[in-house]
Amino acid sequence: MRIVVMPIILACIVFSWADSWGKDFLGAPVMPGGKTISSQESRLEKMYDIGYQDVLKYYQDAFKDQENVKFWDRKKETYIEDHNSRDWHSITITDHPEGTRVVLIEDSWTWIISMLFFRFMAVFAVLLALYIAMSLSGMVLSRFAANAAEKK
Amino acid sequence: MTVNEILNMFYGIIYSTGIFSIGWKMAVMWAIGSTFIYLAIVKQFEPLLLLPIGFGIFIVNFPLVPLMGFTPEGRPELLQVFYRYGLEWEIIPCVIFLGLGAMTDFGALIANPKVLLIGAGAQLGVFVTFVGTILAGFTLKEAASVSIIGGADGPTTIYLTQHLAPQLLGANALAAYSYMAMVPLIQPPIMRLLTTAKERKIRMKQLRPVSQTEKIIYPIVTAGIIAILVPAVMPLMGMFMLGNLMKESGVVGRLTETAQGSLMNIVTIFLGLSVGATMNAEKFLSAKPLFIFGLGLISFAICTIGGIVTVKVMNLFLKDKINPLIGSAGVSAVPMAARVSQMVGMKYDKTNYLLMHAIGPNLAGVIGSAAAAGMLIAMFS
Repeated sequence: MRIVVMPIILACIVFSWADSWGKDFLGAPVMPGGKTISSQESRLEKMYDIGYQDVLKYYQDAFKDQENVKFWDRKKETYIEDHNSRDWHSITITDHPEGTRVVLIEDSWTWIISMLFFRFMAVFAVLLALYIAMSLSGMVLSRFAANAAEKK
Repeated sequence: MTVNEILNMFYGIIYSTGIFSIGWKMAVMWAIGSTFIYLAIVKQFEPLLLLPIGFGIFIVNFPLVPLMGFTPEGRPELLQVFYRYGLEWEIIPCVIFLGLGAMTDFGALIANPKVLLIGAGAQLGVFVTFVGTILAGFTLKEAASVSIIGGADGPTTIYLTQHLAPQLLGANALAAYSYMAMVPLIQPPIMRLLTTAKERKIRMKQLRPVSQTEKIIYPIVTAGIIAILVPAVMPLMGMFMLGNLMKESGVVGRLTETAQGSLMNIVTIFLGLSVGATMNAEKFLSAKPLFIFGLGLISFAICTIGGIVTVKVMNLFLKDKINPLIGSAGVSAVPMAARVSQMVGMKYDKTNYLLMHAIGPNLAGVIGSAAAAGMLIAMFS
């Protein structure tokens, strides 16, 4: 009896560990299988020899009921971004010649700060564009008005 | 009729009133509502909005009142109708912008377009407070909606909040309008702190006269640029510029009059009541509104700083210097912030009239806060 039960228990322990390791990176789901290209504390890169659409489907299902997770559909790539305050920031799924590549990135302040900085600069850019447009139109109209006054 | 039957009738009458369902949280909300009514009537703080908001808070926080819920048949009740079709559908903020456009004279901004940059600099607080809001435990969308309070633009705050975090609508709107009312209290100390006596006395060149043609072209050009660069806020800016075009064209006097008068007044009533009605005791009495008021104040103060610092930086490159006191007007709050610039300036030089110069950045602030809101909306869409 012990000979039968022990391997089962051991197998359960091993598989449950492997399963949990394979399904989670900083709280983000990781599709089981595939080959790990690089694994760091803040970044995990995996390559799957299955189709891009299948991998995408896995992540779409994984985040089906989650409100603050945004999918950005790019050409041959899907960028998934977390808008909650979780430890992971993004998952990028790319249709690669060798298969489907998935890169998971840790959330960081660098992203938030740089994103805010660029958006603040973008506000400047919008108002600068208005400034240029208004200066130009003002210049042209003043010249017209001056010419009209001269003719009179 | 037996005594029991009489008692049952009596109980029926008693239980159909709200007496037994009153809780302490409701009493707190009555006090909050009454405070805003008091501020509106006695202190005249933004009375057009704080009065209906205060009354909205007051009346929805009674038990069994059929105002903000749904009937058993599923029909929305009175204030729920106002809220749903006015705010949830984002109609009211846009109609208010139409009215504001019909009341606005962009002459000061057209005459001196470089002050547009002050309106951009004054959005600093929006982006800085975003970080603090995340640290306070809000989600990214909530952080965006709270930080826009610093832009001091009520309709923009409501529009953005409704888009990203409708659960914070009541607190955000209330904080935005409260700080708009408190501009004369919040800004002067910051203005004095960041400027020297010499800077406060800078006299600015008189603004050039602006032709009617320029005033007519301005809303069309601005609408086009905003539509291309920040399409997310076109519902607001499109209406704003339409209102202004109606006014400046001079050919639709009746429409202009309606937009800046009756229509504006009607939607203001619905806006105030609907915002107040969202402030249900169960949702409102938590730590979040306190954080929102605190972070909103910080955002507003940093926006004021951003406007003044932008002027100082611009002065490094300009031959004709700008008085940095008009930098504080880069927050929206039209025309209150411009008046504050004039008031503080007059304290140091009684013959230095800054009002017309301050109106420019003030209007730039409206566009700047809308652009900032657009950037934040685009982040999540």
